[in-house]
Amino acid sequence: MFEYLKNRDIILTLTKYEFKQRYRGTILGVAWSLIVPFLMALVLYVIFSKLLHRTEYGVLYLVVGIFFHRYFALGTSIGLNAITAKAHLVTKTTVPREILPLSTTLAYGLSSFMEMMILLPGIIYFGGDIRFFFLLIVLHPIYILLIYGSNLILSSLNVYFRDLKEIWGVVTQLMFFMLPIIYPIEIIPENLLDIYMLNPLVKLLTAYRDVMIYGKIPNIYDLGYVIVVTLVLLIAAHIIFKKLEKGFVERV
Amino acid sequence: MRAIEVLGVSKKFKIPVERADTLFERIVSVFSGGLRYKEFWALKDVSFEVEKGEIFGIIGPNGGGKTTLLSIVAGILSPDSGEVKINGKVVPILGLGVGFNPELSVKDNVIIYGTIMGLRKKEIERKFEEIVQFAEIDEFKNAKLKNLSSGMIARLAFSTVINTNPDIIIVDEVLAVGDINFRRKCYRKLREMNEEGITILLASHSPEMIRGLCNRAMLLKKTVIEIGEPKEVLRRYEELNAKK
Repeated sequence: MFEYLKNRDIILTLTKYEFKQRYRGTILGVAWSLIVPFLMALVLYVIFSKLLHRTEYGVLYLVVGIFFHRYFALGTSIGLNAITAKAHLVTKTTVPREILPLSTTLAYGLSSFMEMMILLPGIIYFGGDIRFFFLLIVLHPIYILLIYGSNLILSSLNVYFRDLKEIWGVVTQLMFFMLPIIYPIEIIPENLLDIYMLNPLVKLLTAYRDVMIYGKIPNIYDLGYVIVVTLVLLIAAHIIFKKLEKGFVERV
Repeated sequence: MRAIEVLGVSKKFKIPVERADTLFERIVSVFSGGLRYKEFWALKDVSFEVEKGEIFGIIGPNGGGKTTLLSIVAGILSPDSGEVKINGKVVPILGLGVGFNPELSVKDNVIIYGTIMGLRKKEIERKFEEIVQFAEIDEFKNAKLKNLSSGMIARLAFSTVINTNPDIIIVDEVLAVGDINFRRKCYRKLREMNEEGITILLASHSPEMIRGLCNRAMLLKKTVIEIGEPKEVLRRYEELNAKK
């Protein structure tokens, strides 16, 4: 923990420029990057409108789901390269290695937060209840930590297994269908529901929908479960990262 | 007081005979009887000390372990055996402009490089003018880095590093870039910093640099062959080269 505090200037600087580079530092840049997910939402809505009509606010339900999954997919697929793409920093400087996945995670976390903000007028237009929208400020840091834990593991493993990217691409796609994005949770068969709900992202996505469109306070127990899983993941990821870190300089 | 103490450091590299950088290759190798490695000792039982305020030079043939040793002293690589003791803040200059991004402005790059080298962001901003001036790129300070020549970039990098308040600087060959005037300026600056009490550990191929700059030197070829007066060490180096 103290390490992070001590290195806050490096963390903030790297995060800032990673973000700046991606969007050239403009709000318009963030908005521009949203064309793809909106087009995707349009296509999926046309195809799955029957299923989605069973949910409240079908369009919003879908869009929030897509934007939620987007951070998982983008954040981890870029985070996976955090060490290998910055090989020169690993071999020539003493920068604490975990800062590399951290700054990528933060940069993409920030852009994902801004994307959700940009949805706000649309949510109001389609009649969403935004009373508790501000609670996103509580939810998003949890999501960022969850992604950070994943990225610690992915980025360090990627040094040893360079084809991880391909495998992980399949996982992120699979996750799209394992989350209630294009269907309501109700269609999951009763006997599988317990297993289905073990996925912390399912619970987190439900919480996002609660605050962003349904004007509800998220279920505290579900949220508690997500936080516990996140903390366990962070501890485990840190141990794995520290172990694999020793071989970075020679392998990267 | 000692700034750097290196005690019996050895470093072994394992070089895989077959490549195995992917999960697929790993799986294949399990079936074909495991990975075979060739072991290669880059350093064997290296010991030396550098006193505070010294300029200590390391010379040796290519593949003699200079860069490996510097990386270990800088704390980037860990040795297989032996130990390194450091007194003070080390700033390694193993490559100039590490982390530089051509798409960002000169100022942004100085801030990134400076924070990576352990300076507070505020301090860098305060020193920015000084850094740009020493690098002699005053008129380009608002340009993007990609519009600068490679010499200018090297100057900017060196200029940033020396402004990071180090106690010990580790320099690897990097000053070979840039034109002769800037090189001289760098040497002068290093000497100046040394007079203020900063310890310098440098590796070089160039006998002139060792002779002109160092208080003491070491000839390294996997192990320590000679430590002492630069003149003596260089003589041994000549002998070693003549033998080939």
